[in-house]
Order: sequence, then structure tokens, then C-alpha cells
Amino acid sequence: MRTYLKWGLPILIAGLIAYLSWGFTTKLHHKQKTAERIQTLPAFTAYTLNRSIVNSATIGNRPAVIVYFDPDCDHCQREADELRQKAALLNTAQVILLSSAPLPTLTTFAKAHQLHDLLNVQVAHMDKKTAYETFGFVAVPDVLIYHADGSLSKRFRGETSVEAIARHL
Amino acid sequence: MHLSNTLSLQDIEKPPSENGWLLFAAITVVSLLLTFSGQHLLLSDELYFNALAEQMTYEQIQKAIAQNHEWSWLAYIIIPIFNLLKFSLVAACISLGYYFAADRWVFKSFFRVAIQAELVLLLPSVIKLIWFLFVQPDYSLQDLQYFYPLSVLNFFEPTAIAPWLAYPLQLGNLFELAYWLVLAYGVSQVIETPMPKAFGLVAASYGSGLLVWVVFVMFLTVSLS
Repeated sequence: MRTYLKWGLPILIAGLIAYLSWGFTTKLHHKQKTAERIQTLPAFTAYTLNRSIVNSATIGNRPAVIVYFDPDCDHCQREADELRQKAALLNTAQVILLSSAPLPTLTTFAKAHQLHDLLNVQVAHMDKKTAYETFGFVAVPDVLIYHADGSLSKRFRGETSVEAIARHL
Repeated sequence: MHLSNTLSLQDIEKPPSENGWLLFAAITVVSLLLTFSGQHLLLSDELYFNALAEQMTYEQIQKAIAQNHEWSWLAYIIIPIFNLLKFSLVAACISLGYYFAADRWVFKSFFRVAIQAELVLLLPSVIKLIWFLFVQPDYSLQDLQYFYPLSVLNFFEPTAIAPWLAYPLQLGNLFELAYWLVLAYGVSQVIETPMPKAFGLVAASYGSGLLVWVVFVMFLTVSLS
């Protein structure tokens, strides 16, 4: 028993450290690559509530605000209400509320927060893996603000006021 | 590693001492008091307003503060559980190390040593409280988050380092070194072995456990941020 432990435990600890170190370096490498990529609006495809496509081309030469959210998150719900109330402050920009939740859930969310009738706001779906790989989105809400030329103006992590977003357009 | 084999398990493994549990209770109470003091004397609404003003409206900050207050009781529940878990893990690491070295299993005595050594790690929290109350009363939320006395972190600008580096740099501090020494002293008393050998045992056993923990925290930080 002791011999097994004497060999097994150090191997287990070394294996654990190796696994965590590998996971850490992989994630860090991805994070650094993503941080570089999002300095300009990356190519992406997401699906709106009416199943049409929204991508960097449909945004055109306007500033863009991409808000990654989850319909069940309190902060995101407050963010959506803020956007509805103060959407006029962002009327020069295209706002995309991006989520990995299924489209029916997003439709319910858009109705509940009355986002349907806002012309410059689109609620869209992108799967979790693609959102992570394209924008590095992990936590919600996460806000990316792009200038009209596609360069990144500011990233806010967490609940953000519409006034703060407008200041960085 | 050859350690003294002259003591029997019964000699080493004393019955659970009331003093040990009293010390555990005392350390937990002091930890709770320090947390309470930190929350009420150092953290103010103004601090949150200053830190979040660029990103949030007045109402949003108020809601965030209210939510924070609503959940602040959770810290008081977590501290005793965290302490118990921490002392158990430290004792388990050293016990395993000693088991490999001397073919004996000792846990309760090492558990007591882990509780005693914890006194050293309460000092940075006391210093932090005194520092921000009397030495640097004009501070930001970031100052509070990154403050750790006598640590490697003090050589860097908090904004200049990656978030995943903050914890390992904080952990490299003189109190941690003192903690290792107190652990080694306690171990040397329990198993009646010279201090250098006891320090070697602590470094190999607790050090390995700590290394796994640090890498795990770094992995979590980079994954979730």
C-alpha cells in the first residue's frame, strides 16, 4: 500500500500540476490572441430573432456596440432596460445584444424588455464556443465598443451605463 | 528523508486537545472581527462610487452596493468553513509527507500545528487595517485589493501586471516565509526532529500542496477573467 502511495501520489500531483499548467498556458495564449484580434471588429456571424444574419458587413460604416449577455443574469436584464430607456443616446451606432441562449429564449427576453421596436438594437444568437473564440467572451455582461472605422474604442466588463458607452462611441 | 522512529504513534498522536479547538475558535473569531472591521471601517459607499463612476450611473452603483450589502453575511458563514478546510488540508499535506518519510500517520497533532501557525497569517490583515486607517487614509478600491504587506507585489504597479500574476506575487511575502518556519517548528516539536529536517518536510509536503493550489488559482483566474 505504502509503495503504491509513494509512487502514485507524486505522479498524481505532478500530473495535476502538468494538466493545470497546460490548461493555463493554452487559455493564456488564446486570451492574448483574442485581445489582439478584437482591436479591430473581427469577422463574425450571428443570427437575429427573425433568423437573418448579422455580421461585420451588415454593420457598415457605423460605430458598433456589442453586448454579450445572458437572459437570466440580473445585471444583463438591467442593462437591457437601460438600453431601452436611453437608446437615443446610441442612435449613431448599431447595438448588437449577443447571447448564447437559444433563439426562443431570446425572443421572450426581447419582448419582456421591449427591445423589438428599437431600430438600432438587434438581439442575436451566437453559440458559446464561437463567442469565446471570436471575442473572448466568458462572463456577462461584457461590452465592446467600436468606432466607425472598426477600431476598438473601449471594453467594459460588467454592468455599464448607456452614458458610459455613448462617451466612447 | 530519515526522521526519528523512536516515538510510537500513541506518543505523538495526543487526544484532541480542548486548547486546540479553543485556538481554532479564537482564530475564527479574530478572522470574523477583521472581516467585519474591513467591511465597516475600510469599505465605504464613496469608495465604490469613485471606483465605478466611469462605468455606471449613480443608480446602478447604488443597486450594486445594496446587492453587496445583501450578500455580505455570506463571508461570515464561509470563514469558519474555510478555516476548517484550510487547516485540514495543511495537516493532510504534512501528514502524507511524514507518512512517506517515516511510515507513520499523524494528523491531529499536525492539525493543531496548522491552527497555531495561522496566527502568523492574521498579521497581514491587522497591518492592512492599521495601514489604511492611519497611514494611508486616502485610498482607492484598487489599493485595498492589491495591498499585501512585505510582498513581492509591492515592487509592481497593480495596473501593470496581469490579473493572474497578482495572487502568486502576493503569496511571495515574508509572512508566508514566517508561516513555513512556524509550521516547521511545530512539526519539529511533534515528531522530535531537528528544525532543518522539519523544514524540509514542510517544504516537500505543504510546498507541493501550495504549488498545486497556486497553479489552480492562476488557471481559474485566466479562465474566468
